[in-house]
Amino acid sequence: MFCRKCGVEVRAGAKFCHKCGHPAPVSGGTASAGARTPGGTASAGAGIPGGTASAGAWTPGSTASAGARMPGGTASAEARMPGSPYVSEKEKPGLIKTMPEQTDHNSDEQFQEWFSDAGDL
Amino acid sequence: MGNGLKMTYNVDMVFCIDATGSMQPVISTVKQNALSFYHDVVRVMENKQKTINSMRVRVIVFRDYIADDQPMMTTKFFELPAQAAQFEACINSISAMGGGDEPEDGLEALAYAIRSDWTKEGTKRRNVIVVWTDASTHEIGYAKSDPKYPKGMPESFNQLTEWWGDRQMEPYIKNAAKRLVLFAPKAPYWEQISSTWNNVIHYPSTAGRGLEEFTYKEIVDAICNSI
Repeated sequence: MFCRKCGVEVRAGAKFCHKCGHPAPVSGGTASAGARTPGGTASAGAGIPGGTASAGAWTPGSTASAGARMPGGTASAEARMPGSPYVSEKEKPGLIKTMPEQTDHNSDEQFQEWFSDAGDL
Repeated sequence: MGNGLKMTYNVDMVFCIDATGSMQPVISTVKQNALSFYHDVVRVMENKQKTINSMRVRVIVFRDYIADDQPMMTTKFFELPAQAAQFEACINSISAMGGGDEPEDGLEALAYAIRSDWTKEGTKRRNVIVVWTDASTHEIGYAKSDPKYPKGMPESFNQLTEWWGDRQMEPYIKNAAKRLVLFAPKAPYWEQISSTWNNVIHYPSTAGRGLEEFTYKEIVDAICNSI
């Protein structure tokens, strides 16, 4: 399977792309992080026990971190939580992209504020 | 005893974080807990009847000299808890990305960590280096031909071993104070370090899985076991 963000081949079973850190596609399936399943209601495998959240919706923040995972779920199968500020395309027609990409990837500016090149020893 | 000398326990930590793409899970875990890290450590230490008088933390983010634009980035020491907010902001600015081939340049990160400006204060000190990686390392000097590669690195793994030192030789880090905590796979060169260097605690991680098997509590406990 291949990363939906950078296109590199991702090892089967991996939760994240080793190249860019993007949540990996769900192994063996067609749904991936943020991907929609037509008309679908999420199965238990989508991460919410007995859940009814529609596939293709998002978790708040969408960081795909360990903390974002839900019991029984996988990091890459995201479902929208109650009160989430994000809406699926189905709920908001015309919006092409509703999930922010990698929200825990802060800007390079912030990184540069704290880190400097290690330089020579 | 009774001479009025106040015992002080000063702890310096250097976090060497592999920030290549697959490391997203553990980086997210550290981000979520950076602000409370100091208090979490102090609480665990108090349970061990130990009081820390001063704690400083420095961060080294490493990737791959040949594949990445920012292969080795460092911070100064943050004094905790006074600079906890800055430390949290620093951790939150780390992005897991890049990496190129599977081995990363972790040995160079370790060289920088060993050469840290360790505290000279305190009647008792602990200098702890914590490495987080899910990858093996290139041999030291692998990227020597890259223009980004720094001057002054050890010429070989044996020389890096000398930098770490032992009871007879402690060029950069005091033998009694130093600890190396490895969250790293059983792979080159982490396994060699684990088996041949002194004062090393190795928690083997699964290659390529971003240390997702470690909870924050396990990480804090592991660090506290070293201090």
